[in-house]
Amino acid sequence: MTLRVAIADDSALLRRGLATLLASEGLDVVGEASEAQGLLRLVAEHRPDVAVVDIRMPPSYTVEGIRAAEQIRREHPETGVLLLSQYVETDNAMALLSNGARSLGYLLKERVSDVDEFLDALQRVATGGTAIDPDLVTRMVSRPRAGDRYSQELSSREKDVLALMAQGRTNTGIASALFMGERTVEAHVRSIFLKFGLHPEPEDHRRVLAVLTYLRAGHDHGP
Amino acid sequence: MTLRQFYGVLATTAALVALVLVNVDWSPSAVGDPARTLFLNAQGVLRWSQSSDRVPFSVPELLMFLAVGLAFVAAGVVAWHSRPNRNPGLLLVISGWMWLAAGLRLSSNPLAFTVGVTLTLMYQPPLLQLALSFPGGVLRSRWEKRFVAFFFASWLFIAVAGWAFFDPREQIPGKVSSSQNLFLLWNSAEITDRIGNAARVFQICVGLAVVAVLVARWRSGTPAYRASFLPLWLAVILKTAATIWVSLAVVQLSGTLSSQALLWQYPATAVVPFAVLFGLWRYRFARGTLSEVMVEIGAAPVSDRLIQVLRRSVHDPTLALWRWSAEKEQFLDGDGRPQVLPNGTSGRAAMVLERSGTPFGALVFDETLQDQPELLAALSSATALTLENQHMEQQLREQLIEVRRSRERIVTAGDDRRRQLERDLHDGAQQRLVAVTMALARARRLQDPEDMRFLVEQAGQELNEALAELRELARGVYPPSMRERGLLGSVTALAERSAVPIKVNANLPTRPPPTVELAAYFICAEAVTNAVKHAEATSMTISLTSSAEELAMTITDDGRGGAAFGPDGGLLGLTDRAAALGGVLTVTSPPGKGTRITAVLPFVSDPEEGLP
Repeated sequence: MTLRVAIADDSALLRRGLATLLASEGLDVVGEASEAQGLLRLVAEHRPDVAVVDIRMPPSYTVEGIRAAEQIRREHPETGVLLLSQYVETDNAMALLSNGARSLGYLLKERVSDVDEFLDALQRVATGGTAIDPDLVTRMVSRPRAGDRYSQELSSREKDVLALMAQGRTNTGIASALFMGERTVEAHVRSIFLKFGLHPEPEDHRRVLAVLTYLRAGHDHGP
Repeated sequence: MTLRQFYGVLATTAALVALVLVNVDWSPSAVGDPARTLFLNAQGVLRWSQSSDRVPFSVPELLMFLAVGLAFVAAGVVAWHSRPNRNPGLLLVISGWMWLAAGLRLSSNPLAFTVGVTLTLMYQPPLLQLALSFPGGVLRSRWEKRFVAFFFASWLFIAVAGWAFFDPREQIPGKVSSSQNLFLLWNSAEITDRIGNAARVFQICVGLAVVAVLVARWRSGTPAYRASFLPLWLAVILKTAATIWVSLAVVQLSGTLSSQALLWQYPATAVVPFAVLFGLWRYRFARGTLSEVMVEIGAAPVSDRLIQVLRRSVHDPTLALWRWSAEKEQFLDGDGRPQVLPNGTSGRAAMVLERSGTPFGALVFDETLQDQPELLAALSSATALTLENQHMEQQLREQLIEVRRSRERIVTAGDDRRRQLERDLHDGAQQRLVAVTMALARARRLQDPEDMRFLVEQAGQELNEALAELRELARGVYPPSMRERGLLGSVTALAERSAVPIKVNANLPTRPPPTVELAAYFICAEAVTNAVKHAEATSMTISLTSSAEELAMTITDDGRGGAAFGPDGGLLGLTDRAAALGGVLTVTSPPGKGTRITAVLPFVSDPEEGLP
């Protein structure tokens, strides 16, 4: 099934470049918008599987993309949102993920150049998954923190697993990325849940919670 | 009082005293002669001669007489010496001389006797003039001068008239008088008595008139005037009481009692010079207060309080401090109303306070204060000092506020510049580079070499544009030619890149320090940006001239002018930049006539320059 994609970016150059790239990869670009309102109209009209949205757009060039993403999630939960930005910031990530990580992505713009990875992320977001930029995750996971409750308890292997989990990878994806068996990955994931004190719940939700717990612990400088 | 004047007074007084002493006839008949009784007029002598058991003139009485005269002279000398205006002292001295000269009537010489009786009461007119002109010693109006002249004349006339019909040798019973009166026309006791009565009525009337004038002046006078005149009132009352007492005594009492009564007039009169001196001293007393409150004046922060302190210090509740308004070229009073300096007829006087030749305020006060230049000088310097302090404080405050503002503007401008730079990078070069990565990503996945080449070329173009943008941004951060080629090189480069033709005139024999060069460059760059963006200029000229100490620059364009120091901060930023280096930047931009920016930037900025 062809992914149906809407694109919003105030830079015509990037809009065109992205549309051409996605079209040449066989995706269906349903429309392009240069600002948030245009994007919302586009989404309402075409109900795309996923919207690729620039965070900074007119009029204030700050976080219009995040506001638009929140609105799309409220009004059209079936449409995934992949936010692109020149920078990835923890604040933005927290704002995005605070209402759950379903159908959300947050990537640096240049991730587009790795077409396969980008398409994979698009696919994940479109199907209800998550895609967090590895840069941000690395920064969060490797950052030395004061009063850290968890980092000492997690083994380095568990941290690797958590980092990939944080990016939104599935167990299969993690297993292939870390060259280990899928069962081993599952064991690490369970261990992480246990250490974070997360009770048995639907898998997806727990994965998100694990990531959030970790990010928050780092972000807030402690529990 | 000069030394010469002092010796003059001393010599005259000594001569007078000597003359009196030499002329006194100590023979028993002479000392018992009622006509020679000091300070009696013709009528008085006539009455007195009818009294029995008169005490003859004695050495103690002579000493008292001399003491009173010398007291007048001494008080006069002190007053003359300590006051800038010699009049009060001079009048006291003259009064003393008249008093002493009256002693000549103790002589048996007809001429000396006649002079003595004529001058008997002439010590009074100078005192009256003194009272009317107190404390300044200057008669203010024409009628006052006429009145005093009339007073002198009438007193003289009364004396002469009284003696014109009185021959003591004939009229005094018992032929006890040997005094020969040179004024004698013919001898008549009746006329003498009548003249005496008329003169007394006249003198009482004049006395009452003077008292009325003085009372009126007292009521409208300043506290300083009242304080100084109070001792005189007491002296006048005492003296009047003594005079009445003597007059009554001569008529009513008899023998030794009336003789004693006559002696009372000496201490009563001696009080007068001391009262005058005390009054003058009390008037000067304000200065003592001033020195005490000098500290208070200096510490008085608010004008209102300063005024109160000034008023208290000189005992003048009407004292006012006016401010000079340079814009209106007028003095403004405390309520901001324009005022004209008093011209001397209103009883008010003013002293203008100046700072390096230009007025900044005026003290307005009761004109009697003018008699004390030292007090006024102290007052004005204390006031000027305080105002100067306040002025400096105000100036410092304003400068500090401006420095704070400009510091804030400089920081804000820097922040704005950074924000703009980030925006430019984000929207420009960064976007282009992302676009390049996209193009290359697509190219990698293409099979057709032709399509691939097209995409790679496209990516190459984007890269070139990104490079150009980055170069331009870098140039905005710091002009690259500045380090190697200096200000002229950078400005020439600026002119070459400009959309408007720019003529650069440079005369830079000395290379300015880097901070000055950079500031000058940014001033040029901002001016060029403004001219192109806002003023729609079609040509510009940049002139740069350096001397050993400073760089002078002028930038003109032919645009539409009307540039102003708006809140957007372009021009203000330039001014701040110049000011931060201790320089000055001015903008002339009449609408329709182009813009002219001149700046002078010193090579060495002295942070203390221009501080008060």
